[in-house]
Amino acid sequence: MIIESILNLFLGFIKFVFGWLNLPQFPESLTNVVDTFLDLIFNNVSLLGFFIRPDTIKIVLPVLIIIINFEKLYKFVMWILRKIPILGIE
Amino acid sequence: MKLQTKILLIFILFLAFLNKESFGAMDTFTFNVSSTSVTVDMPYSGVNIENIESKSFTIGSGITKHYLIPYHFLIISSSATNVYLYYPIITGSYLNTDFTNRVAFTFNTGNSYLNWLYMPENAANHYITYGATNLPGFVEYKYNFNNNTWEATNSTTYTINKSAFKYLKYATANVYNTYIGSDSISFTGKGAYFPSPLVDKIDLFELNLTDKDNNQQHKFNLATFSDSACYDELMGYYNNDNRYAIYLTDYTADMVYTDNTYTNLSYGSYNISGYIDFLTTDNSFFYYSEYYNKVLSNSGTKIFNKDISNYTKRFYFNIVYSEDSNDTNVEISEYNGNLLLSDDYTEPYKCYFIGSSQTIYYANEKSNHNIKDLSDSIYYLGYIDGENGKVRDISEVPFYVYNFTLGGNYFKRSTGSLGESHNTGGWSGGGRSGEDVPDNSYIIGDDKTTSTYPKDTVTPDTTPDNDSIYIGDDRTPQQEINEDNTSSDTSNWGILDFIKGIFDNISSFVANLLDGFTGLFVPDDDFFSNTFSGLDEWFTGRLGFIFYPFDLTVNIFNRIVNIDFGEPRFEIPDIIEPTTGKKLIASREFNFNDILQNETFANLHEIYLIIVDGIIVFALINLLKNKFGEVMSK
Repeated sequence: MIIESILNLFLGFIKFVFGWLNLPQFPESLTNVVDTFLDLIFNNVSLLGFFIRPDTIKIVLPVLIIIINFEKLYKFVMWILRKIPILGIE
Repeated sequence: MKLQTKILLIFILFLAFLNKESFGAMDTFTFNVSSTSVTVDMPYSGVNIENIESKSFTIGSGITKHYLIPYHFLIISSSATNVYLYYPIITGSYLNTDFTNRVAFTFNTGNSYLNWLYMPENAANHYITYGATNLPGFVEYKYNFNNNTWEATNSTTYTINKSAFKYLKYATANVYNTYIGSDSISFTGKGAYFPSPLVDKIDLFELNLTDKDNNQQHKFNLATFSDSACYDELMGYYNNDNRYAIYLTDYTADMVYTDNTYTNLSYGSYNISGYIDFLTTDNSFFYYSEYYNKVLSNSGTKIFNKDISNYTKRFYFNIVYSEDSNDTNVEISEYNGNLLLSDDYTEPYKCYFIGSSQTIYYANEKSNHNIKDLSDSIYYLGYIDGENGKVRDISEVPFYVYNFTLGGNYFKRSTGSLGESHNTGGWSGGGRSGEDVPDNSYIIGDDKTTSTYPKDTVTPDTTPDNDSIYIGDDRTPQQEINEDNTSSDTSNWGILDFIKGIFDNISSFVANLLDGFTGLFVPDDDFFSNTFSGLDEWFTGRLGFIFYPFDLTVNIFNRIVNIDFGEPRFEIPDIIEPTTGKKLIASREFNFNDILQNETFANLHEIYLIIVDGIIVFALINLLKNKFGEVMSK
C-alpha cells in the first residue's frame, strides 16, 4: 500500500509534467514494415532450433549479452559502489 | 560491404523466401496458432467476406487432447449477388440433401463461425463424404446458413465453389504441439470439389501411382473424373501428418476411365507416390466398400469381386495407428483410438482397443457391451468385415462404429447395421461416463487375446460437448471427494475435531495478520504489470513517434521471450504463373524433423548438436577470458 502510493504519486507527477504533450504517432505504414520484418525473422526462427539446441540458446544468449556489455556493467557497478562512502572505493 | 552485413542480407533474403506470403495478399487461410487460441485469417482478396477476416476461438482448457480435424471452409457464392460467404462446415455424417438432419454440430454462437472447432472430438469423427451416391454433385448442395444452423435453401442457389481443410493437433492441454497442414490453401481454379490438400499435393489432379512394391507407375488425370464417387474416395483418406493416404482401391495398372465407366479394375491398393510410403509393407492392404460397389455398379460395370480369399493378409479400411506405435512413421491419427480387429494383425500398426465391458450411453439408451464378445461378428470402423480371408457381406451383419479418443469421454456408436446406416446418417453424440480409458485399454495382439497396456495415461476430459448426452451424476470421483471434504456440517464432530478447529482458526488468524502487514508494503501481484502497461499506453499516446523506439524495443524483447522452437519447418507457397493463373509448383511444407524419423539421421543430428554445444561453450569461455583480460588491463 505504501509503495503503491509512492509510485502512484510519482506517476501522477510524470503525467502532470508531460501531460501537455500530444505528439503524432509513428506512421502506421512504417510500423507495418517494421512488424513485417520482425515477423519475417521471428516466424522462421524455429528453424534455428534444428541446428542449435534451443536450451543452449536460452542459456548462452543472456550470458553473451552480459559478457559483451561486461565493461559497461562493471563501470556501472563501480559507479554505484563509489557512492557508498563507507566502502572507501576511489 | 562487411562480411557480417553480407551474411545478414543473405539470411534476410532467405527468410523472405520462406515467408513469402507475408508480402502479398493471397487468397489464403492463415492459421495463427498460439497456446491459447487459434485465429483464422480469412482470405480477403476480391471478395466480400462480411467482416469476418479473422475469427478466433479459445482452446478449451482442461482438454487433454485436441484433434481438430478437419476444417472445412466452404465458400459459397451467390450468382445473383456475387457475394462470397465463407462458412466452416463439417460434412460427412449426414448425407441428407437438405442437411436438415444434421445434428452433430451446432453453431451456437452468433457469427462465430469457428465455434464448432471447440468440439474437436466431434470433428474427429466426421469426414468428408460429399459427392456421395445420392448427391450427384457438390454444386447441387443447396443450403443457407441461417440462425446458426444450416438449412435448406430452395429459393436461392448457392454454389459451393471452394473447399478446403486444415488440420491441427494438440497434444496436451493448452500446449500447442503441432500445427499440421500449415500450407496455405490457395484457390487457383480447378480445386472446386477437392479438399485443398489434395489440390495442393496432387498438382493439377494428376496422380502418379505406384503399387505397394513401388514397381509400377500409373498416371491418370483426376480432372476427367466426373463421377463424384471418385472424389469421395480420394478425399476420404488421409492422416494428419500431411502424408495423405489415398487409396485408389480397385484400380489396376490398366485402369481406364471412359464414358463414366471404369474398366479393367481389380482389387488392389495403390498409393500415391511420396505421400503414403509409410503404408508400404509386405502386407496387402485392401478394403471393401459396399458403398463403392453400389456406386460403380450403378454405372453398369461389374468391377468388384468380393472374394478375396486368395489374400491371406487381413485388410482394413481407414488408417489406424496409434501414438504408441514403435513405427516412427505412425503418428497420432485423427482417429486415434479407432478400433480395428484383425486376425492377422501385423506390425507396425497397433490398435487401441477398449477392452472388456464398457458402458455406453447412446442417446437415451444405456447399455453394456462387451466389445470382445462382439468381436467375432462386429468389426469396427469403416466398411470392413473380414473373416477367413473373405469379405463378409456387410449388410448381413450388424455394424457398429466406435470412435473414441484415448482418455477422452467420447464414445460414439453408429445407429445400426451397415446396410441401413452406411450412408452415415446416424451419427449421434454419446458420452461415456468418464472413466479413464487407458485403464482398460489394450493393444490387441495377433491372437486377439493377448494385449499390452499402452503407455498413454491421459486424463479424460470431463467437459461434455453440446451433442453429448450424459446420464447420471456429472461429478467426477475426485470432485465428489473434494466436495465431501469441504462440507460445513459440524453436527458429527468429536472433541478432537473441535480442538483441531480452534488451532486451525488461530493459525488462519496469524496468517491473515501477516498477510495484512505484508500488504502494507508489498504491492499486489498485478500492480507493477498494470502500472507499467498503463504507463506504456500513456506514453505511447502522449509522446507519439518519440516513444516508438522504446515500444519497439519492448516488442522485440517480448518476441525473444516468446520464441517458439516448436517445429523446424518452412513453407514454400504456390508458385503461380501470373498471366494464366496456372499453378506451376504446388505449395509444400518441409519439416526438418521429418528427417529425424530415420534413426541414423537422428543419431547424427544428436551428435551434431553435441558438437555445436561444445563449440558454443568453448567459444563463450574464450570470449569470457578475452573480456576479462581486456577489463583488467584497463
